[in-house]
Amino acid sequence: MKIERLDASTVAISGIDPLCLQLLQKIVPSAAPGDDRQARGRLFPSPSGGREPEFDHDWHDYVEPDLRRLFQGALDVVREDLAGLTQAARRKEAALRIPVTNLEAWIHALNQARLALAARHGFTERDMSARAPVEGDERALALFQVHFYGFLQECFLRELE
Amino acid sequence: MPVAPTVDPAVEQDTQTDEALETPWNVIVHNDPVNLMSYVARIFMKVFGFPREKAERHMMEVHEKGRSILWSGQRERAEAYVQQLHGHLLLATIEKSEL
Repeated sequence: MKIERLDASTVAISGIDPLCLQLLQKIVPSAAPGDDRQARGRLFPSPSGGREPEFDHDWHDYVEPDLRRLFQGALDVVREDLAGLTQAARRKEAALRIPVTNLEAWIHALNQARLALAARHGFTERDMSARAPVEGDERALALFQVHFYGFLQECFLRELE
Repeated sequence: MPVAPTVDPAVEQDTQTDEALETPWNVIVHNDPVNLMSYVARIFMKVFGFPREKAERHMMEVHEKGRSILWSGQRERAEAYVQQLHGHLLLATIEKSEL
């Protein structure tokens, strides 16, 4: 897989193999906290650290809806860009073009997905810095997914510098 | 991880006189194992207008000490900063200063 700046306004990802393609298509669903309390708690944390229940309650009612709209907006941008994925018939590799103006939304969406996945699977600092993956189970795949999204985030952050 | 600078980040003080009589509120950012260090520093630059070096000092303080005070001042403004930080998915809270 190769990420490169095509011109002033476009970043291209080429040579996307089937596994990476699957992970890209999982960004939006992975970012949704659903009914998972840990994931919801991480994406919408208490602003008082739990010390002011009344303030937290007001925050939930009045601030969280704005945050939800903001988060959904980033996911919508990513979903639309992913709709433009092209697949080379013979080589089984896909390619994607992302407008530079959408990179902030990508970075945000990737972060939502990483945080939700990490909360859902209870990843600790130790898990995150482990060199070798744990056993090849669902948790290991989720950890790989978090690192893959982190790699994309780093690349996009560099493009914005 | 690179070694952190030894200088403690300066805490931003709001100097408006009508706020001087009130106990200030701190905007705290807490460590989490997932957010990228480069991302956190970038958000500090964006939200607080910090130069890169200062943003990175705060980021390292979060990483090494578990938390950093990013701003102190009037409660209403502190809440607005926390909202912005939550909008960028950082773990931020508001806390009354112990001054």
